[in-house]
Amino acid sequence: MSQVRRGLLELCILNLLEKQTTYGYQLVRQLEAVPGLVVTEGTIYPLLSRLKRLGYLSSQLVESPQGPARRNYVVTTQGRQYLRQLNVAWQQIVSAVNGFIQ
Amino acid sequence: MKRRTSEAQRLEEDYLARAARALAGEPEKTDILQSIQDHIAEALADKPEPVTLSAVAEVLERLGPPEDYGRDAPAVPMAPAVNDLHGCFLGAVELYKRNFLTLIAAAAIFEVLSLASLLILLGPLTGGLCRMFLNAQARPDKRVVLSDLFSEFNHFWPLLGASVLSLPAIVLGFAVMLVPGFLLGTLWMYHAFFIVERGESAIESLRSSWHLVTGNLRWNLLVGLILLAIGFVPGVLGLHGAIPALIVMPLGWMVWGYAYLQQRQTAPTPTVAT
Repeated sequence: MSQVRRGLLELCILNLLEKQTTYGYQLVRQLEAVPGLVVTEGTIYPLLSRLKRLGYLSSQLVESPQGPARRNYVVTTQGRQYLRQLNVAWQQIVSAVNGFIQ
Repeated sequence: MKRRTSEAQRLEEDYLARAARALAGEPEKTDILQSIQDHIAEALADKPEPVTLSAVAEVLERLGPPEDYGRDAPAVPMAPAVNDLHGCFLGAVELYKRNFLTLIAAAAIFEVLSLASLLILLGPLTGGLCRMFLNAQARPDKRVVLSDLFSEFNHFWPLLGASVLSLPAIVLGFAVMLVPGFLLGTLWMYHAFFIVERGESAIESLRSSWHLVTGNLRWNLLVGLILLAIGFVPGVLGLHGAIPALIVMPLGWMVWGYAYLQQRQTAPTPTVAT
């Protein structure tokens, strides 16, 4: 189950970041809107690092008025292509599972 | 950073130390620890000073047990294997355009030193190319750093060993007939990445590359064919050192690197720090 959750997290992170560049803490707050997705907030950071290592995300430090500089994450060209494949795979899974439910 | 009470400070330091231990062997350890520290700072930003033990404990509890950071081996079961040649070329061209002169210089140094050392430095320099690529693609500005070419001499013996084991077989394969050489070259084409990223031995790295390639054979053969076509293999073998080769070779390196990155997600998680 935790592996499925991580896969979902990856999908959500990339989709959120494609719409809007943001930093880790803000991303956690946004992901908490999905019930049960973020069990422990720390899960997200190894995942972000891994996506960066794979070349799907890049990061840049941006000054923050409220404290230390924030590390903003951006989806790369390669990341966008990967995300398109993930979204297609996700739609196929959802529609197949919905078929079982109905 | 907000001032903490001494108990709160100790609790946070203990949490970070346990997280650091859990992340031992993780290549992105520093990055992850910094992100955790940033997260804690953000979460405590609206707390009055000095920040109390209970406030820090609440933030750390939400972050989860520090030992969990080391358990992250995200298989991401829904993620499809990425066989995106177009993506490889897009990434490669972007890196190539941004670092044209540095890459040409790297190609020249690579060729000269490999030949001058009678191919002894071929393996270690190939490891340096892998590190150069991995570092550049991870940087937001995608800058290639020339000194990375010499950064893998700490893996000198495995890189030399893998080169000694694989090169004669590949050359012989090419000499006898093109196909066996091409097949062997393709099957072992990612070995240097396994040494650089995972600290594997020469034989382990050749085996890991073999498994990675055969796991997705048709796509990797296509990549091998493309690399061969754009002059990568002749360049590596030092069979020509002409100026056109110096210009084309780095593009091959970048495609090779991106192909590895795409395939790597199907390989087992790294266990050794680099």
